[in-house]
Amino acid sequence: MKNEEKIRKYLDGELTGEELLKFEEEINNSSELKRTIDSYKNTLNQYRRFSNPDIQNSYFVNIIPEFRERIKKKKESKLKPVFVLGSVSLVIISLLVIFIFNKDREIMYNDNIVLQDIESEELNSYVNNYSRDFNSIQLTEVVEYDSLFNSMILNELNINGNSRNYFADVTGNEFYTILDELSEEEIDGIYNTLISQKIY
Amino acid sequence: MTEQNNDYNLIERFNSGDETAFNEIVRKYQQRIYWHARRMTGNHLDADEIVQEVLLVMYKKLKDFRFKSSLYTWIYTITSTRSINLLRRRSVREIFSFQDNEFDKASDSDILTELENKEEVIRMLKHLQKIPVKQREVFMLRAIDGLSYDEISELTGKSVGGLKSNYFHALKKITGLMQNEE
Repeated sequence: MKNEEKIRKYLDGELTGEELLKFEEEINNSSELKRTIDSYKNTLNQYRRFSNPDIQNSYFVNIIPEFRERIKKKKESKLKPVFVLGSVSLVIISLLVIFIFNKDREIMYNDNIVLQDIESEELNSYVNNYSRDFNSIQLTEVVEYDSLFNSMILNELNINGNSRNYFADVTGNEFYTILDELSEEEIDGIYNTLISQKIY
Repeated sequence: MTEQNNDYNLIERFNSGDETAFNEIVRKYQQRIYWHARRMTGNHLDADEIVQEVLLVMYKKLKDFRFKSSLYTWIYTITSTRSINLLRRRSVREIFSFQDNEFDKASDSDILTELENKEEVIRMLKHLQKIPVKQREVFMLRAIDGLSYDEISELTGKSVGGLKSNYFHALKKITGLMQNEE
């Protein structure tokens, strides 16, 4: 048997009879072995005293109240499944509504997106729906004024070929605004200035 | 009435809705839970946190307890697992933050503040932190709590031979640490 195992058995009280007597004799005959065993015994004595340290009892008195407080807080903060499900549904519905609304706004206000992204069939349906926003007389007037004004300007300014690309078109609404704000004399003045100074 | 029967009655009462029975179970085992956690972690704050975690697990899981072991063995296993998890988290934190171990951090709120031999107890706790967890656990149960190897084997699920070996290695290391201090 190794010496360390003997020491452990001795310290644990597992040596008995002849074996114990023999080992005790070994200890008495070896000051080094005696010193080693004494140091182990000293360690064990110190730690055994530490088994029940005298401590502040208030800590243990407060363990249960603290635990109850934690349980209470946990229960209060715990969300009911029905409430969680309702909240999640509400968020999803809100997101869908926002998405759909924004898509409509995009179609209404961004002409480029409308023309590039939608199919011709879809475009026809939009034209049919949104054309109800104008009355037929208004729409005819706009088209007439637009084409009349454009052809007049192009002829008078003698614009053709590539020069047409630099010509800024005027929409029906802008044309109305110009007409409302300018007098006949002012319109003639602008026209004559354009012709005389050849700003084209 | 044996301890096992008493525990059985307390659990039955608690599972029938008697909250005071849970308080009785806590009062019965709280010191053992605390000191096991305290010796494993080395400081009061971590031990206190583990005590609360263990109570929470007990509160939730007592209804499933079937007395395949004693109630204390079950509580001990929970405490041990929680302590080891905390030590793992702490060692990871120490690696990344380059900190020394933390067992001094709780000195201000320590329940040992009015203890006459406080310095000695803290010194012993520090020594325990310097040996491997497996050895520490066996040493605590054998040298401090005075349990037999069979009892320790039942608690930890480890073989008696392995426990004896771990215990003696721990004893040698701690004795060496104490001698180095002198």
